[in-house]
Amino acid sequence: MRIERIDETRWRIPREGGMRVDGVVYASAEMMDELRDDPSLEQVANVAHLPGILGASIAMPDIHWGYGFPIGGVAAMDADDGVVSPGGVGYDINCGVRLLVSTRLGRDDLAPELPRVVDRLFDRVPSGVGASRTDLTLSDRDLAGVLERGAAWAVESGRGETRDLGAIEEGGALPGADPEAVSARAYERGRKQLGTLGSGNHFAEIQYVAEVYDRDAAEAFGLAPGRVTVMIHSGSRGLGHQVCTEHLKVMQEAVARYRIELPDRQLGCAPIRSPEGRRYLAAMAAAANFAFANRQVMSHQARRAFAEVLGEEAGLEVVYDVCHNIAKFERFDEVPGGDGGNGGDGGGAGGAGGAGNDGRRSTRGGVHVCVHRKGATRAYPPGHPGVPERYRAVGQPVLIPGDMGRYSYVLAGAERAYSETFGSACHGAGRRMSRKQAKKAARGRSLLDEMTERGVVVRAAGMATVAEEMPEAYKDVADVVDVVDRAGIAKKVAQLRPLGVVKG
Amino acid sequence: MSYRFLDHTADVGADLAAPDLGGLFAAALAAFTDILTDRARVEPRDERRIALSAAGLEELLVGWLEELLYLFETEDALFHDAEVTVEEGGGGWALHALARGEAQDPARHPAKVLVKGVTYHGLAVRPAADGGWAARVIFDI
Repeated sequence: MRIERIDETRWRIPREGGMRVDGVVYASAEMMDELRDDPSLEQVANVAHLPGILGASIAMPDIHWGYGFPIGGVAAMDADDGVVSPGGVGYDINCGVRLLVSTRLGRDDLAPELPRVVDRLFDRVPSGVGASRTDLTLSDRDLAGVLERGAAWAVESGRGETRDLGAIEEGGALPGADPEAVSARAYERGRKQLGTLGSGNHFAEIQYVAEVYDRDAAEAFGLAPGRVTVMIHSGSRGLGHQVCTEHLKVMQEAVARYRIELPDRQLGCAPIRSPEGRRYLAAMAAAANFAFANRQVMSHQARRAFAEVLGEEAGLEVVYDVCHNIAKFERFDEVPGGDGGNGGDGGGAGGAGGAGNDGRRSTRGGVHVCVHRKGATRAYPPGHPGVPERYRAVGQPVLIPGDMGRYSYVLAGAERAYSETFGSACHGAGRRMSRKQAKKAARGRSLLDEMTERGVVVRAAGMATVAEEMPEAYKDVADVVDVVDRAGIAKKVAQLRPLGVVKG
Repeated sequence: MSYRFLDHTADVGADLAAPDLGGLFAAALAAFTDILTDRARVEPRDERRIALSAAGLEELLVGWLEELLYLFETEDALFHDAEVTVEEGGGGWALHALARGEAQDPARHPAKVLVKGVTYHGLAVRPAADGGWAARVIFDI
């Protein structure tokens, strides 16, 4: 496979064969050395085959290979002529991250009570295998409400504040969700799972603001040095997985009917405007809303955990909540690279892309796309109306969890995300070691001891997952964020370090 | 029947082998349980009949594993082993199983990892050189 360097942070996989657009990979030279023979690059090229794809098949620096689509991939399809693919979203629909910051507590304030707070968090936020909340079992009617209204349902049922909603992507509910597009099976799986973390790389982490890189943005986000934060990484649990599973199956069959040729059957898709496409989008939005509600309920539980141990409210406010496995309808001024791909003028792209030669925006929002982000985060720039007003001057908060025991980052969406990556940035540290390798590397070492030496309090439902989630199993998120920052798609705002972790 | 776990960057894969198709699907059940928890500690106390069908063997394998995942998530059901028959018929394949296990007890069944889904990645069910059957399946975890 040919790979050409575009500039310091970008590489091109030139269009060839059945590819409709180029592949563009954001990576440092060192990362590309590791990636050159990795199947993930082939997956980037495969995604470029999809009908209606615009601009380029894009990959972020945390890229690693997944099912059909790479993880860390962005693919924007023409909203009218393009296809939608469940594999471009992932099994865990709206897996994402929420960040809360304490307006009152600093690291030293919390230190004496930290172990008890972590314990209480572990009690209040069920995690791990077979985890379910027995105190929150949803009726069909409740579930339908969750699927339709997302985080708002949770707030309405007494789990959070109305102001929380303004600090969530899409206000905590995607439009177009249809509870009836979600199967009975999915309802059964989700019934007892609202407010649960799940397993694998999901976690609830108590952190502190360790470093600030951009004082204005950090101030706008409420992230003062030393402040205690809570980060929750989780998604739509069994309900979302069921939706993905069912629609993957439908799409595998639909592909033949719509005469779509694919280099990999896992890219199964259907036209956005087809019954299959519409049904998936309606079910996906519903599952996404379950995840928003899930993170809202867990935030509520986190607030309760702090209050119960400390004897008073910790003043935890939502900084932001982002999706990193999702497909959304969004508007941009131009198609990156100006070529609409897929022949034709790519909707409004011809006018907007060609005419904007003086660098100023021409037709505002003239390009309407369905952007798939699988392991990628929306990163709207300063001034974008989709950014909450109090952040608009600095850009949308982009939450990047690192691995356990190291650090996480908060970034701010920047201009080149809007113009180059369909408003997208990375999502976290990519895995570089298989779980088997991670376990082998861990053997003989007491991970709990190591964490404790670093001062991190860990409560995990299963020790096997602790070994598999070892920091060494992941790429260094600092490197990933560095590339994104240098590429101008999102700027570093703050670094967060863990104090306590609750894991599945 | 046997199963062996594969190296895979983000998830878990299993290679399965058995003298016959029924045994192959029994191996899949065993591998699946071993991902969730320590299979040796799951006691075959309760029996359950499971039946399903699919157009092809690979779809049948995915459907079987997804049914086991569904039962685990909704009923906390863990299975130690199963007697399985897989036969052609009606233009596709049909599976009948008698699965034995018990409900998860957190004290005896330590948590390992939660399976999110059964993928089509590298999915294969095929006759083996020794006259038996082999399969590969990768789980999203």
